[in-house]
Amino acid sequence: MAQEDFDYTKAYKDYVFTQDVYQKAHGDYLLARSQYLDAQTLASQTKAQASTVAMLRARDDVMVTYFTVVRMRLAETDGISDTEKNSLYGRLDSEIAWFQAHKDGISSAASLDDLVVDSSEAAKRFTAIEPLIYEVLGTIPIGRVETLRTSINKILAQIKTKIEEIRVNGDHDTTNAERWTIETENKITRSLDKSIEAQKIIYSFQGIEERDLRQMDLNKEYNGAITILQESNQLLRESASYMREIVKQIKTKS
Amino acid sequence: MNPDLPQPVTPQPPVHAPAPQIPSELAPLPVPEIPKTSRPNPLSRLKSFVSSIKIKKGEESPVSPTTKMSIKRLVILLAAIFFVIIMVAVAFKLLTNKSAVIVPTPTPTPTATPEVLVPSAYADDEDVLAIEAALDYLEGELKIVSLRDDEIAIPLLDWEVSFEK
Repeated sequence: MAQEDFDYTKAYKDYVFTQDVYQKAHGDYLLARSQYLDAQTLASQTKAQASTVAMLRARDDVMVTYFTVVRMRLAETDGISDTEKNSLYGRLDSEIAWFQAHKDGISSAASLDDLVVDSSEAAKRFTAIEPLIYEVLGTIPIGRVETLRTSINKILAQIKTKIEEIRVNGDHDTTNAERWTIETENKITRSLDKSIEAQKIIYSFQGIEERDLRQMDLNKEYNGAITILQESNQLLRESASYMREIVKQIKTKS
Repeated sequence: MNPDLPQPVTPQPPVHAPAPQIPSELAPLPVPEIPKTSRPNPLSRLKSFVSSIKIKKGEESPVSPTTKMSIKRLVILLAAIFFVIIMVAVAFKLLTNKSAVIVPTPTPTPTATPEVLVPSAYADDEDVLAIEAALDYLEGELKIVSLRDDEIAIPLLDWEVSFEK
């Protein structure tokens, strides 16, 4: 029951909460670190250890809730195949488990050097999973555009059926409406081409080697894919306006 | 001498100076004798003037310097009058042209006449109305769709933990 009630909104609230906790813990860590580096006393060291442990745990919590909120967004997005979703769920769940385990592995008694190593492990992991995050963030809008295109195709099919019916009746000229139908189909096809182009960019994030990651600007690639999807969406809007014209022609005498 | 008797008229000096000596080469034209007491006839003066300018090339003009000055002044005067006429004509032409410039009149702007739509037999068709409703919904979705989830962008975290100065 609790699992059923859990949705994107709740996941997002958790994420925002953990971010607040992290911001406070990070502030404490910076202060304690500064005091330790200045004083180099046992007391300042103990305080620095405690604040670092709190900050590292809070940071892992942010990652866990972040992956959860992204997972929920993916789950609530239509237009993505179940196979694709399940593949992404599996990889996200794996990361959630890793950060959860990492958090649990941070010992309160760890030395400052141990904590630095703990932090480095998480940092390395984060760098390695960045492509996965961009892949999910890119797949979600692809699904949204796909959903809209499916709706447009459905309406266009209804329009074509109606035009055929009118043409058989022979009581209304359908020449113009048929011409507009072809134009609408062209727009939808071009929109699909744009989506495929964006999809190729997003899918290219899979299996990127660590050495390639250093040369690749993932954020730039992701933004490029989003721009292409916006063009795809614009073509859908144009096709919708064409269909509006078809309906107008059907409803009025020529 | 009796003072009561009319006195003989004493010869008076001529009113006009005697005509200038015409060079011997020029055929002297008979100049009509002008009555000494009356004013000279304009026609005779003109004839005299014309005859005076009928001189051969290379010969010294028999026209007096005063006459020459008069001619010069006349020519200048005529040139000035001619110039003024030309200027007036040019000015008139310009003004006429200026006034001929077409004054822009407001062009009639076409006002959008409301399109008269005559409803067809399918204006109230159930299927067509359903398609229209679906289109309304779809257009709304197309307008509001968000392709960039900024609220779930990658979090900015501090991954550089160290205790070295």
